Amino acid sequence: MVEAKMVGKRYLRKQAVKDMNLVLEDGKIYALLGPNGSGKTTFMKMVAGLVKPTSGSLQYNNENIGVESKKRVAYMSTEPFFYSYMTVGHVGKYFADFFEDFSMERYEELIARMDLKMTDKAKELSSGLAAKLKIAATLARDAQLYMLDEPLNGIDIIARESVIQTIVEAATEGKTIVVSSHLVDELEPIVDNVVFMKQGTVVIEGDAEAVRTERGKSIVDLYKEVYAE
Amino acid sequence: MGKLIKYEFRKQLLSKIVVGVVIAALEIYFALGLLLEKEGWLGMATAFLIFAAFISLFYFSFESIVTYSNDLRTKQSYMIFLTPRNMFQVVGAKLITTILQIVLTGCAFAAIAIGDVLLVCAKFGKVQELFDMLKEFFKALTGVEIRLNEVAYVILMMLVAWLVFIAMAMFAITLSTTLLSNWKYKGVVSVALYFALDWIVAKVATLVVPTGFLQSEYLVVNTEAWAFIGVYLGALALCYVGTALLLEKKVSV
Repeated sequence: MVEAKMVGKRYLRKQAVKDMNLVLEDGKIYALLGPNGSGKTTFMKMVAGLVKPTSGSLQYNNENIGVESKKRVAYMSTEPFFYSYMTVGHVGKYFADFFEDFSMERYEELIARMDLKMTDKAKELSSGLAAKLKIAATLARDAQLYMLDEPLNGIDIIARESVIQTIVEAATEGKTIVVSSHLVDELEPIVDNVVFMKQGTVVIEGDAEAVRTERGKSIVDLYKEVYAE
Repeated sequence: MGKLIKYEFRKQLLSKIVVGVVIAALEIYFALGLLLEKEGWLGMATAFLIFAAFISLFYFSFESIVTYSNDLRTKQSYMIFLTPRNMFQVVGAKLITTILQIVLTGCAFAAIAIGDVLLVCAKFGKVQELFDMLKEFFKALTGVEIRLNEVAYVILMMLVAWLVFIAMAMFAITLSTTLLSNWKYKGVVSVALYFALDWIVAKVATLVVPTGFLQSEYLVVNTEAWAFIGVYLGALALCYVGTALLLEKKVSV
């Protein structure tokens, strides 16, 4: 379980996340929604241990974010981050070397499904294939919490369905998945909970069905309403 | 930590391959000069080999610093900071990789130099003559009788001083990307900080060892000499701990 209490992150002149309170429960799929600059990525990076909060408390399973949480949290960034010399095969070996929960068998299966080859150079992949590689490397881990930042970016409309299916497959019992995306309509059918972020803080949060019932509209319509203001 | 070291080496492998190819080409040039008894070729090859050795040692050290900077400033930083490793291991792996690179490169060039000298002597049958000449040359150059412990001390001192230079650069870069990350002139500040640290270490060293044994006519490896190295090792330890703690507590990539 992730628990954020009054979490803030300030850069030079910008408050990326401000007084954020949020609990991410085990076994659920969350949609983290918001426009660019709303603080989604900063929040995910803080949970992944890439960014240190400047205020508040952020814990995973009642422990501060650190080495132990990194063993159980798998984060997929929106940008490519593999070393320039790496092939798809090297990426798998690197993950296998550092993450005990990484399954090379599962990775090979996902790579084949994503139309990638082990000999492909990571830096020469198209944006769509690079996104698939990041998804394969992340989901080949048997993590407890998956944080996927814009996993559908660059992926064509045909392949999106397969990627969403792969994400849903990872949502086995007790596992938590947090997906951020602008493509709300494609996420809506698969998520249990929604978190709307705006200007670095949570503005709406809760069970997706309850939010729909309470507000009398779909998540897509609510997204348009919240961010059109 | 072994895996971190493995990938540090792998990241910097390309430059080693390039240097290896250049050295191989120069060795072929040297061997041809030897076979065909062309003194001009031998001289040119030797000069270029010595030049390549110095440039390589400098470049590999500089590359360690650049790689570290990239590890903090580019998205490749995720490759390190997502892994469940504490920052003492991460920084330790980088320093150990740097030490190994300097030592291995130094040993490789020393082995090449010894091999080449022996080849020349074998070819012209003047091995003993050459050794005597080298000994006289060093004696005349330094005014110091060559003794093994002194040579070992000088090599160790150079290695430690070089490592401190790299560790201080890493510490300055870390400060600039963590505590000073909100400063407009963080780059300038970190460079100034590096020179300030360098000055402080040198000042402390001369305070701890005030007799200036290094300036004496004859190098004596005594307590003062070891204290001098001790000061630099202390600076290395401080930079290591400081860098790791800053990364642990403050890094945002």
